[in-house]
Amino acid sequence: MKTSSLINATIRGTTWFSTDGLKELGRRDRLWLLPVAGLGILVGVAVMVYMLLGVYRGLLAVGVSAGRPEMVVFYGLFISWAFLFVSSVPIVLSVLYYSNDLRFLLTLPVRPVQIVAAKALLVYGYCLPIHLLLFVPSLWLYAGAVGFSAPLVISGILSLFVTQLFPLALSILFSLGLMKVVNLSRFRVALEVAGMALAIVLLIGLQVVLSRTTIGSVTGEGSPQMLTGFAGMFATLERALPPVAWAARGFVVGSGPTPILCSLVVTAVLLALVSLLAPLNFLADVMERREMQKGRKGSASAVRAASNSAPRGIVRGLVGREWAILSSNSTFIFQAVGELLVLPLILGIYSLMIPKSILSQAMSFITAMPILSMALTALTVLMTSLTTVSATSISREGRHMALSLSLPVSGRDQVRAKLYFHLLFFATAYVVDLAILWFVFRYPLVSLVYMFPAGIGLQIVGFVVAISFDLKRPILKWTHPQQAMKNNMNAISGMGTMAGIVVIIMGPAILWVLKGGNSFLIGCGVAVVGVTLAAVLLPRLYAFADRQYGGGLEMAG
Amino acid sequence: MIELRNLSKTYNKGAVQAVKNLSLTVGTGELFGFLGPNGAGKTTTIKMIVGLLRPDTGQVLLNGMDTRGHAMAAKAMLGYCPDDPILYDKMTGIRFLSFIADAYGLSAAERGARVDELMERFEMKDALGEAITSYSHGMRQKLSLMSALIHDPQILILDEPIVGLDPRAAFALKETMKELCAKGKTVFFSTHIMEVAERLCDRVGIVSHGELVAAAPLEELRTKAGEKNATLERLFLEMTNEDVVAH
Repeated sequence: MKTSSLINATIRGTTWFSTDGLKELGRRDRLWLLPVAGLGILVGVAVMVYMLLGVYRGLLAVGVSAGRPEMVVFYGLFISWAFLFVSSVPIVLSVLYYSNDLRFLLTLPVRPVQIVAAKALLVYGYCLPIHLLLFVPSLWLYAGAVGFSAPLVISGILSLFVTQLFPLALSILFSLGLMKVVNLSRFRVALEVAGMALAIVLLIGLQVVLSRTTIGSVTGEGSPQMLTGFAGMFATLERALPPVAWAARGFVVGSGPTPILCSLVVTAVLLALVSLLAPLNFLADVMERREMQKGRKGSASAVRAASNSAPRGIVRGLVGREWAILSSNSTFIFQAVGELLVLPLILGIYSLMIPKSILSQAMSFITAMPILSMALTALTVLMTSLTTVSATSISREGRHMALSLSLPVSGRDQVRAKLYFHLLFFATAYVVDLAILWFVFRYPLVSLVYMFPAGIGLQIVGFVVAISFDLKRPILKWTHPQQAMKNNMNAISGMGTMAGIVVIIMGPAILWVLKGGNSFLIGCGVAVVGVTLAAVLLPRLYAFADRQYGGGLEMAG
Repeated sequence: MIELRNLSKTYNKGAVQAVKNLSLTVGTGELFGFLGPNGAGKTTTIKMIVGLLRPDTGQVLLNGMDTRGHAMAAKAMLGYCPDDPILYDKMTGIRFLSFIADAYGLSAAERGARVDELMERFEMKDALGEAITSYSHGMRQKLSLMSALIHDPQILILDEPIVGLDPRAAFALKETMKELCAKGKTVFFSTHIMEVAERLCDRVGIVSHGELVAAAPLEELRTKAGEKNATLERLFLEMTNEDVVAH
């Protein structure tokens, strides 16, 4: 079999980027997703590019004044390569060693090097948009400042499409090493979550730098010091990271072909290492990984103890089942943990992003506001109710839904277990968030009298709203976990509706307090509304669940 | 007892007729084999019996109880093993069985006794403490069978249960099916293995293109075909071939 045929089959078989994939989307009436997703991506990219341009512009100015205008290209490459290396480790592991088609591919008369080549090309394809997003703005500014030249065009093309193979090859080699020293079968989910978390930390760090520069350019604070810091770091980084330095120096007129050739040579060396080591160990690694999946045997006495333990009650059993599903995949866990920690994360990021003087001014203004407790309640309810965990809990079951439906368990018990699971996670997060907010804002403790019931009541309302969309039309036939959770339109519908409900309930209450109303009494009123609404909606949800589960797998429509 | 009354099911907004007006009764204590070519409508029929799919028309009655009106009670008397085992991979085998036992409301003593019996029968003693993700296909199939049998169901529905089982487990399953029928329970299973159906079943049903073309004991099928020594395989090929020609 030709490598090109294998690559073609891999792309057709595992992505939507083919006519077959588009036909399948059309067959599922999901073609409308393309423009919606496209618009979302466009907005995100535009915001990111705007902020990147702000930082790169400052770096270009500092670089030009220091006689090193290529500094901006250096940082563009550095940021992109660092991000590519970190974010591609989990992708490499999942595409190269854990994809389901390996079981099939390994039985075909295909050489390991062909499989590695096909898979590596997929990794390259996944990572190319990230690289272009992070690097192109710096190249654009540099070209605008120094004008077009032959070195710029040649280095530009190579840096856009070739030299990023350096961090990608590095991440494949790193993954190979990891496979040797860590039992990935046991720690795979943890490793993927760690990789994603590290990528997010990088992204947040970048966001902090971007925002501080943007704020600093408006207030005159922060920006110059930070940019001077970057200039100081430049020389150190240049010495420490020759491949990035060579790639950046290739853009300079008069530097000759040596830097870019050096950059190409180190990339080629790494690629050669990958094409030598990965196929060499590929079969052994994959086979070993499959063998390692054989876990340690549980003792007979432990099995006996478990089989004789007291029955847990079906709702408790279903709550455990919810955890088994959520923890079965790194995408699910990462999303859930991110949503649990969103408020502490936002507080942390803002405390880093906003200059101290502005922050202390803002704090003295915020803590003096009469609506403080009410606004914090609204904020915390929003943060802990707008969650995809409950809004996709039926979709997440996927093919396991057939098992749920074949058991003599009513729809209301199934949904009740999902509610308890939701509260276990998000009511706990709500309490923790309230505690953190007290340490930050020192709101009156007496407000907890209404903050707690209002929050729990509205959280239950949020759960009812979120899961109703998923009950109505769950996405049970998914091939990639992201389709069940992150890209699930039910989550967006549920979260959007809940945001509207919070605004409708909390908005007038906040306005009333602003107009001089008694904050405590109005807060108690909000709590009564929240709890009443939950009490009214919950039985309706249970009845709806009974009907939907009674409809069997066709609840998916 | 299983009664299927005029069951019909279509897919893709009526474009594909998966099951056409299928009527069938499987009596108490009967071991019934459900045969048919790929895509004939076997799994769709089974999914309608266990409540995973809603028939477009017709009724499913289990021990006289309409599954539509009494879904929970009907499911409580059923044990179902799908063609592709559906298990929670992150659980251990014993935790999965405990979860299923909880769903059927078994007491600790009942569960302990059933788990002991089934793990001996299917030779899963050493595997139940392991995470399901580490199981081979055969072990997954055995665990799926154990979960279908854990509550000692009145009616057992099995979709291609022999596939993937080693000879010892296949033998254990066949013995279990016979024992259940001897105790007055109903076993309904689909298979492509004609020898198994021939040796095991009291009656066989042959479905083709969504229609039941025959449902009778093997001897009766032979008599109808006028071939006293014909194997079930030969009868099956003739019946489904005629059917194809007729279409």
